[in-house]
Amino acid sequence: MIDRIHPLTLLIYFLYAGMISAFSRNPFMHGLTLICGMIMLFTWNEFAKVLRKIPLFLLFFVLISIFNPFFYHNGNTVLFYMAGRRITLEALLFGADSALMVIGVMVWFISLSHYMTGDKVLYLFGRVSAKGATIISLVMRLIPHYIGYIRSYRRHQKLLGLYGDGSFIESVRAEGKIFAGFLTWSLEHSMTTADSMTSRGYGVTRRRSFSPFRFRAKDILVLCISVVCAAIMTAGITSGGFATEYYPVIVLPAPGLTFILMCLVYIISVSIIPLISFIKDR
Amino acid sequence: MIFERYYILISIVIITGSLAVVFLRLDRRRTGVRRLILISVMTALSIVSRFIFAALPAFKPMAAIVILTGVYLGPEAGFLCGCLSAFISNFYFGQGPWTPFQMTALGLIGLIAALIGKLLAGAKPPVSRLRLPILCIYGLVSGVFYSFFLDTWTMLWTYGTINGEGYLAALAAAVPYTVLYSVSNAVFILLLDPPFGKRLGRIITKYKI
Repeated sequence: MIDRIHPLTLLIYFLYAGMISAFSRNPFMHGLTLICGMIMLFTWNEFAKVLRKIPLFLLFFVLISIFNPFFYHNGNTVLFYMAGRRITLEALLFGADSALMVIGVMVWFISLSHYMTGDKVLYLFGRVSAKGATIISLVMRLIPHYIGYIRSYRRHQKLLGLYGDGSFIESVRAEGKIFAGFLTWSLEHSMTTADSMTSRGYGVTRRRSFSPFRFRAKDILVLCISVVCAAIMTAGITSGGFATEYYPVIVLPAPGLTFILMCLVYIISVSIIPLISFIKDR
Repeated sequence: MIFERYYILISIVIITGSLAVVFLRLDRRRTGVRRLILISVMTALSIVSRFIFAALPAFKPMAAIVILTGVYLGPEAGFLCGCLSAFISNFYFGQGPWTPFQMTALGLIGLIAALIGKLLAGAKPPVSRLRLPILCIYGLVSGVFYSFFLDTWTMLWTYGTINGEGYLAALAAAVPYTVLYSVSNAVFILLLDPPFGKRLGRIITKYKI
């Protein structure tokens, strides 16, 4: 069902869902984004596959968290000294918060990449630049073509006994030869493509593109909800009151009524696409 | 602070907007079909090269191929190849809010390479003999430029404001990566310039591009 949502709606929804909390400095908001993003992963991915990603996320979390205190030495609570520099609790927690935010955005972008299939990317890009979209579609086709060609070239060389005796230097030399041959072929081959495009009339008139995407009622609904909620969240963040101060001491503002309302707005607004698809699929 | 972390929002909007403007402008220019295809081929090659060297961190011929595209096929080709290589390869290696920054950085590397290539093409013998070393030095410099450009993004993303100390921290953390990246650029230009130059030159004269 999500496949049939208009690409623009999809893009704006995911950008809103993934990035709105990145503009605030509040660990609860970042955590909420991450949790919602994980739930979004479960809507299209297998449970086991998502679980297998979690160690990677944890590794990222640890790496980004410990990055900050080693380079940033502000903060009052000293944990220990390393090479004469202070390693502070504040810097560590600041790093952890940043890590939470980065992973939250990453998780949302994984879902975005899944739903933004090639045709949707081409459609969106083609609105801005027809030339860019042409190149993208050509490149998308050329990549698997080239990989297949290199593989078969290598097989032929091995079969003919021209790949060398298996020593490292011989292999490198053989790969160099394969690369040179491949390069000549790819450039010459591209000219055939160019000629066949010319003979089919490419560039004769202004380029028009066909797209199967229609702006439907549910697109308007999702778009309106995303934009309005983004505005509400921005207003909430702008009004301040729950930005965490890290230096010199951590000041974590108590979650008030505004904060709880904003979290609710966020949860309801991001669940709109999974909800629509769930209802339609039934 | 009124709107915490507004720098990041503004920077993303500005960089995406300027990319869109550049693409709109480029769309008005007529590019020959053959040139367009050559740009696509070079972009595909640079992405495939990123696949081949995916296992090695930072050691990639991608920027070198973008630079050679700029040198041999002109500024428009250099920019498009760099920009779109970053954009398309990120579909395999992970899209994110950093994509527009990578696109701009690689696009600019290709664009400047084309300008250097133009200067070198019109150079007299003492300078023209130093063509390859100059391109290699440009490869080194562009690796450093890439790091500086992308670390602006890292700084804004982690600290939310212009933060000198944070910028230096990000640069310092990236030093091994930057060194490897710059050296790989120079090495791959050295290795790839002869085969690419010979074949692209042949194609350009043979098909009058």
